[in-house]
Amino acid sequence: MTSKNRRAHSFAMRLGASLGACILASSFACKPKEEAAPPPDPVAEAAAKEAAEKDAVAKERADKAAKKRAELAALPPLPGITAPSPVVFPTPTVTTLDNGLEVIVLEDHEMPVVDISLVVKAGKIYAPADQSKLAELTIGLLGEGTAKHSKADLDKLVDATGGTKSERADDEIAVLGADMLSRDLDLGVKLLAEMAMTPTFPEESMKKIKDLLIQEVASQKSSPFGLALQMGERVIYGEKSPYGRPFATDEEINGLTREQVVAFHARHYHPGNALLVISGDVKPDKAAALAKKHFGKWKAGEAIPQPRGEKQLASDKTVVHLIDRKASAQATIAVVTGAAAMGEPGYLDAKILQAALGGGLSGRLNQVLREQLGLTYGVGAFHSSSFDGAMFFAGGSTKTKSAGEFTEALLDLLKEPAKDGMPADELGRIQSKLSGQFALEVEGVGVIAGKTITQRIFGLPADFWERYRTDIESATPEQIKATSGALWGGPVHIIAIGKASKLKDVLGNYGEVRVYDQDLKPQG
Amino acid sequence: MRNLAPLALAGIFMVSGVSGITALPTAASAAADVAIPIEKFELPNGLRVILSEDHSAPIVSVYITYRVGSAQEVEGRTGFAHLFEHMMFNGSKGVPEGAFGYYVDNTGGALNGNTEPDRTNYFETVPSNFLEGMLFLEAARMDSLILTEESLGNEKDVVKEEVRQQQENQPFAKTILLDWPAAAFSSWEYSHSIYGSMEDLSNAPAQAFIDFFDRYYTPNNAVLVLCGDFESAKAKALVEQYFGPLARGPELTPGFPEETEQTGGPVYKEVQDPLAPVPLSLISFDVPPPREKDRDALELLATILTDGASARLPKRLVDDEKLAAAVMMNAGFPIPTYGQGQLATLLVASNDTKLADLRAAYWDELEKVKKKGISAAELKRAKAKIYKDYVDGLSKTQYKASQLATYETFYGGAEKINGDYKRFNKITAGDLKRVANTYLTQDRSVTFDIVPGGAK
Repeated sequence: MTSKNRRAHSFAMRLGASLGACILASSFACKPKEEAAPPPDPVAEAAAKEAAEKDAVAKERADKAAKKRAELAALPPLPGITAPSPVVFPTPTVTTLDNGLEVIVLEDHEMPVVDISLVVKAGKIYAPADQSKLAELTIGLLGEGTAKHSKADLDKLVDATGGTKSERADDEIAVLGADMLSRDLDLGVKLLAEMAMTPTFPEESMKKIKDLLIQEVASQKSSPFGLALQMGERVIYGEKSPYGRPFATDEEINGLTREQVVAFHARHYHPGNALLVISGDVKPDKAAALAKKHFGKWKAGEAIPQPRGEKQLASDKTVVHLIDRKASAQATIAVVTGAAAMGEPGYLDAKILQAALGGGLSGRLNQVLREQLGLTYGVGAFHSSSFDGAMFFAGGSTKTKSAGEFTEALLDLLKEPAKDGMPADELGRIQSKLSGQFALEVEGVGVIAGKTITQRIFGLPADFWERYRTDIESATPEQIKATSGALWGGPVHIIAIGKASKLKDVLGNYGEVRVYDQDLKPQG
Repeated sequence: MRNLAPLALAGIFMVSGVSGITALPTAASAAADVAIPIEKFELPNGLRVILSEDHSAPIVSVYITYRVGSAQEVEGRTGFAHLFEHMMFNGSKGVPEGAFGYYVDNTGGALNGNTEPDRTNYFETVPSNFLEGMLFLEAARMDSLILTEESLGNEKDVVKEEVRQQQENQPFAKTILLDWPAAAFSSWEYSHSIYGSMEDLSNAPAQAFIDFFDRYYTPNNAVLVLCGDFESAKAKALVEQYFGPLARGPELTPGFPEETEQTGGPVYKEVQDPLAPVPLSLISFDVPPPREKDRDALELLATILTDGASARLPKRLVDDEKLAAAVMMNAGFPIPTYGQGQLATLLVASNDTKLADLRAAYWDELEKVKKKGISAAELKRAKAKIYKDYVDGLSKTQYKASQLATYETFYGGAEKINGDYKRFNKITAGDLKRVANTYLTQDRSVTFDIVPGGAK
């Protein structure tokens, strides 16, 4: 039931109670008079009628969805299903150089290519709050020249092989990458070592990288999903968390200095704070030898503590964060809640709920919002982990005039598993699905390298991925119901992007509405 | 090298036990070259089938290309091919509405479809023990898709939301998907929107969709590709079992629209886009169909000019003069066609740069190519990029399946994929200079400047 429904119901109950009291009292003390009956309150009656109608619509929608789920569950199995082929998660070969650099090798000789990643714990969250783009600026500048090679020379060397190099910063890590034919492995490792160890941070490149960062922020502000994501992280992690920071301003980015970059690099880029991951057509001993040859002289540094934000207090009421995007052709609506991060109890339950609700065309959200109601092109759910917990995000886009109907149905769908539980057969189906999905996820060494990096960076058990499918399969309906209740049983954050003037009233039915501009600055 | 079948390595023909099946030679070049095994056969009903075994991961891709796209539509009945991309997931005989997605999702696999002017693709990648199930599903919808006013009505609503989301609510998208093709292509078939007119969709009765389906979604108008972890002999038998009974459709001779080359001078339009975060210029030229010699030369030239940070345009525009944040040049982009096509450049301005200045530097660099040609080192680098792309293209199951479908549908046979990068080795610096002078001229260009602003 929506908050508006709840309000209407409680108002109707109060009204009924007072009428009842009067009737009760009148039989003893009042002489009944026709004219004494309280006049009907048209506002209350209309509210009660509206609430009853909404409840009827919700019930009809839920019944129809349940019927469809039952029909699908009764389908015969696909023909010819055979025993699954084993999924082999390759065991990485790990060595450590004398300076502390861990070298992780994943062999795959199917194709003559290698993927080289130098992963440094120097992602965006390590940047100071008032220099929030410093990590990205630093890694961007690593590709701009080394003591031995100018940027133009580096680019020529890489391009001549047909391969590519890349620099990127995620939340937790910064990654220097090279994707090469295996015959060019030596060159790839050598150039990454140069970029990490002897960058020159040319002043003339600063403006270029800053401009790119400014455009990146502008681009995120222009995209409904980019806005929803930024707002989601802000409300889940809090503005004081490195995960919940506001958009960097042009002034903040332009104010970053070369000295700050040099200092950030000196503090974070050292072998004890990094992993070298080489995957593909390479033998571990050769990879280790190349790592030693090119990274052996990298000087050790001091350990860096992991930044932690203040734990965000759970909200005591549902709030609608409405971002006014005046040129929007439709409304984007998402519901976000805090969740368990990878490795924490409840994480795999949330993963199961993500698959049940948002997983493809047959997920509960698409079944109702797309297939049954035709309200959206697609709706989805994802769950993103951090060092400070995780965010569960579910949403999609719809016609502006359908925003109320969409939000109502979305909230009901999210709350359903906590209210009604998840049938054992549906849970079994989702467990098999996630198990099968893992087979697709481990195609190619690049993906496997990514999973290995995640396991290391988040400090997950060494056998996390080997056990993943077994652990998923051990979840019970009771666990899922409890996790669902924890996620959506209480107040949630609703994020809406669109024309605020057309959305504010309708979304006011679901909680307190706070309006922001596209910079996410609160509006009167 | 990836799972080369010994017979394919030997480069000989073989005739399998299944009627009408011929395996083609693959990897005819040096054994050290990267190649994939390919078997090919045609069912009596005209369905062409490509098999490529690969046991490196326990997954399989099933990929069907129908030779129908928005170019096969007629005026007043647009948006059909794209609507079918939705309807095909809805329901067919033995597969009730919603069951297709349900079955595929339950495997843990992924499904999707996409629509272009000349074709529509449908594909699933799933754990390999579900291969037979995917063939059952694909055959069922090719045989007996359910098309009713009710089911069509719901998908029409979904498509309208898709258009709002993908075309109306994203930066640049409306210009690139709607205005640009209308200006760049001369034929109605290529220049109208792939999404079609929402009015046309609303007005069309169910029978019009049924007729469209019966004409185009037939075995003899399709190519089926299986790639991944299966045994070819068993896969062939399953394809026979599920697709063999399907009736042949009408005989079609699909061609390509007649495009008239632009000769009336440059076309320039400035568009204000209230959603755009930065200014962007899209410059395009008419070019020949894929795999024609001049098209190959133009694609190689695009690689030389933009692929890699040391390439001419990013080096000059992004690094040296800092006029652009990004530069991209591609043939068959943003709308892929297999008849006459477009070579398009996207220039994203850096902050404070005027698009006119950025375009001037771009044209200046093209003029240098036209006058002085390109260096041997640039040519060598581009060929290395093309080889690496070739290797990468054979690395992922679904991507491989997609390419095999393209080769079989448009490029004269799936078997041509192996070693195909070599066709670029024949292109000389002289060819590149010639095509630059012939095709990349101001008079033949269509330019859209998209700038932030306009009514909100």
